[in-house]
Amino acid sequence: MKEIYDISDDAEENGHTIPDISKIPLRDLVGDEGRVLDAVIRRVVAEVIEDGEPAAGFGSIADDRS
Amino acid sequence: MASALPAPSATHFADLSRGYGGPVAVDILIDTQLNKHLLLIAHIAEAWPGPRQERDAALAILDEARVRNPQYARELLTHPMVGAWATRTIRRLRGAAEDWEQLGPDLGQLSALAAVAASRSQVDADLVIPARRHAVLLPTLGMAIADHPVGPVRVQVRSGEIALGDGVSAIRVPPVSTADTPGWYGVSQLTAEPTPARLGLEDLNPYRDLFHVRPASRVKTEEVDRWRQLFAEAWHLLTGHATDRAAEIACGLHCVVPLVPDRPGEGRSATARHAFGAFGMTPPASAVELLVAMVHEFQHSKLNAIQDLVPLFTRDDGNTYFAPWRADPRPAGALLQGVYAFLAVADVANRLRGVPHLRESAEKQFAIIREQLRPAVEPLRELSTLTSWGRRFVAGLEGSIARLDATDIPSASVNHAKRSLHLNRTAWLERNGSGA
Repeated sequence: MKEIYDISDDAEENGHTIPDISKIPLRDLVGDEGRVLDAVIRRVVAEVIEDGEPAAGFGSIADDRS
Repeated sequence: MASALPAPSATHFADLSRGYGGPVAVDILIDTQLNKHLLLIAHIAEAWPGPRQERDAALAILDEARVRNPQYARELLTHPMVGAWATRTIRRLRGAAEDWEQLGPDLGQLSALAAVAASRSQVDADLVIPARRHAVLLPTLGMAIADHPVGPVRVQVRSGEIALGDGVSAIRVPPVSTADTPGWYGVSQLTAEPTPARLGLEDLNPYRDLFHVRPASRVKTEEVDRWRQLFAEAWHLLTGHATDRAAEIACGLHCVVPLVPDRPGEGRSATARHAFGAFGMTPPASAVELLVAMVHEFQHSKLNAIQDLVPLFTRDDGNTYFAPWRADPRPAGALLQGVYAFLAVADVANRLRGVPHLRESAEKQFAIIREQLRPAVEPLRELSTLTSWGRRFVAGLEGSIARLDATDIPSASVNHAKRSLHLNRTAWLERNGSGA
């Protein structure tokens, strides 16, 4: 399991926050094989949920002109 | 076997931190979004509450399309509206799993995604997509109108053609999907040359309600023409005077969601955290207004994606700060977003000073924003919550601000900008106090 993906705790220094799964079939990411990604998925999903709705990042043209 | 996404190279990260990046760095950000979206889709598939036959069929077709045409699959899977759909669906899965009327069509978008991917990858497919209020969305292409308000709609993909429904009432997606035909509404496209640029005008997608401003419903033809005209003019200015920014925007900005102003004549624009490459905007009054919004909002998208790739903060420090362009106190993360966006706007305004009919307004805008950037970036430098990436990022911003500070402009504009900042700060302190 570890050989599929092993995210380290030193993301702060190394920037490894998201795995490269671009070549892995989606079907392999679901079920037992994908469980090793649980921690990563949980973190990404938690961010999505935490941000709430509507999403953050709001600007105003009126403010641009101030 | 998967590995961690490589951290951006020192050069690319430095370019991004200075407010630029170019197509190569933006491509790295798009790769990050691809992997993030795949993770979100994997979560949706794992948390799937209903029968899994349709889920498995959609995943199989998506996987085959990813193998047959990886470039198109990447383009489709990183589309901002796919991010918007995935995040909305995940929130619904968490909040109201029993609400099948809402959740069913959300989950069914996985099949819609598979159908679109199949149509561009020479994959034949038979899928089922649930209708929602008579509508069946095919992401990036458009919306078909179903005979029935809810319930399953059969979708067949053969040799690249998509047909929805059965028999005589079947709707065929036109070869040029942007065209409207009976039963089909295509996503309008804004296009421009000479550096090819294309923005989808997302006025149909049910996941476009991403901002604090209401999205517009189907935009009338004459208004679409107005968007097209202003986009072409804005693009001409951008490619003529900020080629580097035009190149990265062409690479990473994919759609605009038309918004409805709260009050007539009020201009608003916005970016959503999990929809890289999209922005929302009320109908622009001018090409320059559209240009500024594209530059400003794409910076927000870039910074959002950078933070998907590397952490800039260890945590929120809980404090709020003076942001000269806002009336309210802002947390550090939002202040950083503002500096990043306004730095780019100042850079473009500086370059537009070379356009005779824009010289006066561009110089005024450049002077005002440049004056605002210094007091905004200073508290960021002092933050103890910055990671090593964050410290490097803020240092890059400061370097760019210093370069703008060294630009010579008439003293009248400088003095006007200083007075403007003073008034802003005084008003802000009266409103919020010094300890905000």
